[in-house]
Amino acid sequence: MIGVHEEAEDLAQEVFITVFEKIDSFRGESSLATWIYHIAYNLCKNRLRYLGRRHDRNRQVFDEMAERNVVESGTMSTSAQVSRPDEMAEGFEMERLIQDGITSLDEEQRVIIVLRDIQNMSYEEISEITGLPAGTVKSRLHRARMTLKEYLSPYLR
Amino acid sequence: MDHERVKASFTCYHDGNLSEEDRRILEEHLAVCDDCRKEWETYCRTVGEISGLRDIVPPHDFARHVVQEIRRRKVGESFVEKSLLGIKIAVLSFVLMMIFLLVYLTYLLLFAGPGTNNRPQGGATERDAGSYRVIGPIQIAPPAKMDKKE
Repeated sequence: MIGVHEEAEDLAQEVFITVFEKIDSFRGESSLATWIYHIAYNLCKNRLRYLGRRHDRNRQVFDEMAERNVVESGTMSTSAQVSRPDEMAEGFEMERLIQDGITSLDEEQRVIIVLRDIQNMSYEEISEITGLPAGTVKSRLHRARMTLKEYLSPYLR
Repeated sequence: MDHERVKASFTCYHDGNLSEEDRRILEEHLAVCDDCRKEWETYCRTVGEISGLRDIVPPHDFARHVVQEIRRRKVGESFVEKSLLGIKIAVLSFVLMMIFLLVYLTYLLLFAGPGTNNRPQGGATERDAGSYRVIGPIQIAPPAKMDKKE
């Protein structure tokens, strides 16, 4: 979502601190998870604006992070469920391409595709988190997927 | 159904949001149109690849860092939020700092600036690099007796 690993880590920490500080204002109108996502969404938006102002949008690729995750988790849990080294390398390359593709989307489309296709949320939940009407969510999701399709089609066999 | 309309329906079709009638028309089109079918296959693969991204695992000490940061902020907050004589310490500190600054500036203007008329009293002064320095008490010698010439 942010595109820079250190920023994302810092932001994730900020999300939980904000949750701790504002837990009294949680009225249970939505699920706790949705409320936390809403906080994360707002903090992300603010951070992206801040980074945009600083012209600090050095989109760092996540290949090193992917390697670290494999070492830490000891498992692979994606499309890259492969055992051969060449296939594993291909899996990492595809992940890097997808990450690059997502990062290249504009902020409005990026958040929708992350919530829908990565976090597997329903349109209603995404509407609650972002405050957007379901129709807008659908149209942004469609544009984001089509853009990514064009971006990834040369690499898809 | 034309090709553009088919492509525009991909997201609704994929997520099961098409009406029965539209779904039937789209499927009929995909069955006969190779280009649209290829587009649809690429679309499905793209969504599949995105959905297959691994979850990002937070660092093992993430929770500890969050707790530490909360504690650090709490300590800072509690000091600043404390009150003394009904005034918050933060406000009191600011006011005291401003008073001190004002007194210091006043002193500088009145006593330490060059060309001031308010020189320290009680002694002779010597001009030294723009300021006056007391060099000792004023000694007034009695007037020398004049010898009267007869």
